[in-house]
Amino acid sequence: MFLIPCPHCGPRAQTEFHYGDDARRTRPADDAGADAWFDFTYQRDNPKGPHREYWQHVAGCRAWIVVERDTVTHEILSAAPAKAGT
Amino acid sequence: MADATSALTIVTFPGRFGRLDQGGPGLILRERRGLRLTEVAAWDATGLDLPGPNASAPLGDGVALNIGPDRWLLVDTEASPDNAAVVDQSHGRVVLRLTGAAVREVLSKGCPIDLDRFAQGDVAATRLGPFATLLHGIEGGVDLYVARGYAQACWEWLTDAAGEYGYEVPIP
Amino acid sequence: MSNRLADGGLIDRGRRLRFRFDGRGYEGFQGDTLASALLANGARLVGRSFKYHRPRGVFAAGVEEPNALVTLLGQGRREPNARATTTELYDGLVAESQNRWPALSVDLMAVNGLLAPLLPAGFYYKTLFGGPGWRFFEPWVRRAAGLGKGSTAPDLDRYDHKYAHCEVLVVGAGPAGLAAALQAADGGERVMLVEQEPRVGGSLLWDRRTLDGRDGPAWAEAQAQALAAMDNVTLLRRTSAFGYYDDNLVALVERRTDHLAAAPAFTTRQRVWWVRAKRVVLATGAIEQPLLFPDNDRPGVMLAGAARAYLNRWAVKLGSRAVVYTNNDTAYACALDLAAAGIEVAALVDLRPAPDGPWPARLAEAGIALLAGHRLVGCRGGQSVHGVEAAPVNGGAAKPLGCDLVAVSGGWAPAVHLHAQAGGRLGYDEALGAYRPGPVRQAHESVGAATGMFELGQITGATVDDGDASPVGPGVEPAPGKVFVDLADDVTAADVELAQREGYRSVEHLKRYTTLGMGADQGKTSNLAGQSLSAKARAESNAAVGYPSFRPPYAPVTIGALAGADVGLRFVPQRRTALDDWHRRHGAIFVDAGHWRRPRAYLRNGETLEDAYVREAAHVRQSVGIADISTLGKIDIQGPDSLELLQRVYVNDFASLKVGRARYGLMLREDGLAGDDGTTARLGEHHYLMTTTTGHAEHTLSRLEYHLAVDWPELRCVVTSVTEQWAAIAVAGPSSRDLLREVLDGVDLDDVPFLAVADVTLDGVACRLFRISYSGELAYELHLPAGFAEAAWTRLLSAGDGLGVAPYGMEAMGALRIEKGHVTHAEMNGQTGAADLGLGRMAKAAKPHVGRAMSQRPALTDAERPALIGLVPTDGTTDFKGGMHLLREADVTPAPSLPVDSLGHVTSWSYSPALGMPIALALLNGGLAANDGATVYAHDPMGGRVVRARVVSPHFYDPKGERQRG
Repeated sequence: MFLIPCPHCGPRAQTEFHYGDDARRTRPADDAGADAWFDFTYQRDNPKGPHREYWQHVAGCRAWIVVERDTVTHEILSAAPAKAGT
Repeated sequence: MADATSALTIVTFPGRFGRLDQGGPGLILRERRGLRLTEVAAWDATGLDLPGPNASAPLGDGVALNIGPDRWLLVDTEASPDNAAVVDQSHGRVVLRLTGAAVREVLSKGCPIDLDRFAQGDVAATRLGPFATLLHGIEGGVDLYVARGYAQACWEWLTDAAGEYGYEVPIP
Repeated sequence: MSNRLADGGLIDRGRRLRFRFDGRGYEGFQGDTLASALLANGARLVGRSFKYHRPRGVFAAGVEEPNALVTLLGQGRREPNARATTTELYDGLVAESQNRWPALSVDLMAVNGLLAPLLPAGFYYKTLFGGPGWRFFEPWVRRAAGLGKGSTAPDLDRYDHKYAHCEVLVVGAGPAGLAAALQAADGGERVMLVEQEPRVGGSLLWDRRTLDGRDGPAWAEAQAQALAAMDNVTLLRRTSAFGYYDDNLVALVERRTDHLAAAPAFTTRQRVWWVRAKRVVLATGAIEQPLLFPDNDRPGVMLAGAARAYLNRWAVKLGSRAVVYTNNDTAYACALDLAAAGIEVAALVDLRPAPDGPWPARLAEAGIALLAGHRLVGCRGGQSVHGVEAAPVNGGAAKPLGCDLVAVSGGWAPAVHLHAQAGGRLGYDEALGAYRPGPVRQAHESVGAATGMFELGQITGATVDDGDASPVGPGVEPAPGKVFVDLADDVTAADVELAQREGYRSVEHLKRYTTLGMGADQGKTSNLAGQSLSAKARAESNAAVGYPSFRPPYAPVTIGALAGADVGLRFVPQRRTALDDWHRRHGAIFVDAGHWRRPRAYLRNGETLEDAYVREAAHVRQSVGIADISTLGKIDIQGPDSLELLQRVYVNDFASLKVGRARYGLMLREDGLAGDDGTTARLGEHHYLMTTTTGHAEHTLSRLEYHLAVDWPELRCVVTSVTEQWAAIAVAGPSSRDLLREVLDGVDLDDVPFLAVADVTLDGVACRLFRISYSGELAYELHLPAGFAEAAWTRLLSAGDGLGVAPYGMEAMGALRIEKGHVTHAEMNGQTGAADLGLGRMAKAAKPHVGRAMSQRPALTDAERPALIGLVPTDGTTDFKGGMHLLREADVTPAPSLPVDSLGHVTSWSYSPALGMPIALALLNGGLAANDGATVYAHDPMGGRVVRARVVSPHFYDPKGERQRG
């Protein structure tokens, strides 16, 4: 029930957003090899403390954003557009 | 072909409903029909002076609403932006006009944003109960945009929420 | 009202209210609670205890009440476990006691008391795990234990939710809360003040204090009126804050009509408020704690503060002879009030050897005996207390004291629940014997008694009398006997000690093993005492023992309030196509597809569902049918890099797709399994219209947006959902072209080959025509602005009169696509790859795309994987069932014996009008390559049926696709 500071809309209730994915990964190149793709597809860290996540403001402006969230306190440390320059 | 069919045909009956012993209906609710709605979605600079986040601005004979990053909804107006898709949404969204003393009371039953701070000209893409909606602050009320498929359910939601304040559906 | 004092109290003696309890009629006054009214009528016994069915009376005067739980009836309701102490009396209220059989005064289940040694702490643990114990005990335990019975009838009441925002939320309108709210409101900020009681004032309603020359209740009401006059203040009475969540979100429940005999129209019974506050002030007060002694659960034993509330607020004469038992100064005022009300006080028993300060002198002045340095070692009585025994703490002879009321005070514990829920820390105060709020994590502060501070003048800023009393006092070692720690759950001191002996040392284990603090009151008057006993048994400090998590709700909230207005048809919002009303008027039965509702079949006179869909499907094969396919996801894609986006998300190639043509496309997920499919048309040089399945429309849009934002921000293109803008009508069957020829303008249909797109008009409305076939027949999809859908639909039906055009629904659509071997979500189930679905050929394009790398994993290319096949019953008549397992002959002969290795399962089945028999699609190990022509046995383990079936190609009908190209 926390507030997510949408970079476009301002602080909004969590219920307007959907969680997307772990934002600390990057999509490997197509030919990166099985191990890289396996890691990307299945391996996730479960950090205690600050974590970066993709969320989408589905019931709002539909922007994909990167939210830095403390998994212990739920404190939102930052939120920025996932796409640079927007 | 004849006029377009409203998505609200089976629920809109003119009249006054709900509790009316508190100085008249708190909500006046009607559908704004026949609006031309155009969604503009840009992948680069549009070359136009369109409103920024959470805002609207007059454009031609109508108004442009910012509905997301590089995305606008043009109401009853047109534009020829560079680097943008221009998509007709006239049938895709239903526009409800809410006016009266209890607009905020009714909306606050399902809308988590701070409506006390939502002023004329403001735009908010937000939730109303289960519905993804777009709110546009107008003089004395709010224009509410909702996807056509949910329009009937949204109307029923609003009239249910408005019962304790009383509501009026004017004769079109 | 035999026990009503002649005057005083905050009750309206001019308004008599009738009510019934356990079938007997009583009277009370406006302003009473059910508890105060019962006590005023001398009804002492109000319930039976949870486990042992011991007689119990009112113990407290608020939400902390552990005993007086009743079932409220009337007005179509049956609400169990309501606290009589917070239930406002109204005319006509009906309540009954709980947990007794056959009657409250003669409870045969009280025999449990005799069996108490068989019901020790951890009884459930011990019998659940091991031996035949639980099975033997369960029927008996279930009947005997428990609380009130809920109702299975629909809830006739209505509820709603409301969001609110404010700068300051003040929880509790006692002296501290009123002062805080006034201070905050002076700055002009939005202030909300919420009070769980119908009146503001908190302790001022009963503790006979004077502030600025006014009596407490009058002072409080004046503050409330000052607040109510301010525009920026919202004051909610009968409203409890029950949960404190992240980012200063506080949940309240407002009881709007529970106190009324007849609720006004259009007013919900209860409302949940979600308040987002910049700052929260917790003025939640303190809760009095008991002192423990043997048989301390007898009716007539109650908290001293509660006794004062019943005396002073509700003018109830609680008894004729009282004993007050305390470890602190606050109960002295109770003894004085009792005496002032004409109740003889046998003695005030004080644990402290030499109590000092002004209070002992005041006691002496009133002629009340003080037994200092004494504790209670016994309590006599049955359905009411008859007397107690007091003995010196240091040992010595017990002295009997006859009485019918025992007022107990073990000090006052700050109500830190919301502070703790908010993530605030707590610190144990040894002197107070309770926790005080410590450092906070969110923007809130505690004030007044909620911090353990009890000086009224300091709290309110008012000039006050000399009535302050300190709640500080020593702990007590309870004398041996049946000492109840937790009245609500029948947990005794012996249970707590047993838990320690058996190794349940952690406070969380103690709670679960003994059920301490797990009742409806959540241990508000028992947790601290239980933790103290645990600390003694562990020879550690209370601080070391700690406390279990404070979880919402602070006090019970009805499920109805939590559900709010989203019940019944509003439970899931209904999403309707532009043709919904037509379907409804023409005999459609509907089926849910996500939020959408879609016509399943159009039933004509006397038809069953199967009759209808077989007729509809056969009609499509023979003539022409139309179907509402508006729910398909439609995504407009524009921009110079649109093609590149398609190339990256589809497995198959779109580079060769010309303007004006459409192509079937398959998307994989990143893990290489099939994600979604649909047809994408090229409308212009850099303009495409993608369609998705109904079920995956939202997800696919969201994934495209994700890729464009995160993975490929360099692509210059945009995606826009146009699902709602365009209605879509499938026109399918050998006569479909003839039908469309009659109604469409601007196109020569002979120039629209299979998989072509054309701009057309229908009665002047611009539409798009796609020649696409899902049914396998000559077919088209007509997309048109949603507002014109109904007009177009009826035009098609009337134009086709000579052709006999008929609508068909989802079931017929399913039959047609199963005949063609087209897959849908039943096959594309998140476990199947392209090759498994017979679509491996599409994935041959040598281009990178989502899921390509993972789709080449060995496990996904294994020839033994389950793959799509068709099934027909060998007898030509027996129905299949979705989910049937496919077994070998040896595994079903003579009968299936489970467990058994399954070779696969039936994903979809239908009666095939074209083949004249049931057919099915299934996923079978090795697919068609390994099994073509083989016999398998489809088994429904739930229904016990086995269908002998032959494996065939999933393309049952027109496998070469000649009809759709015709």
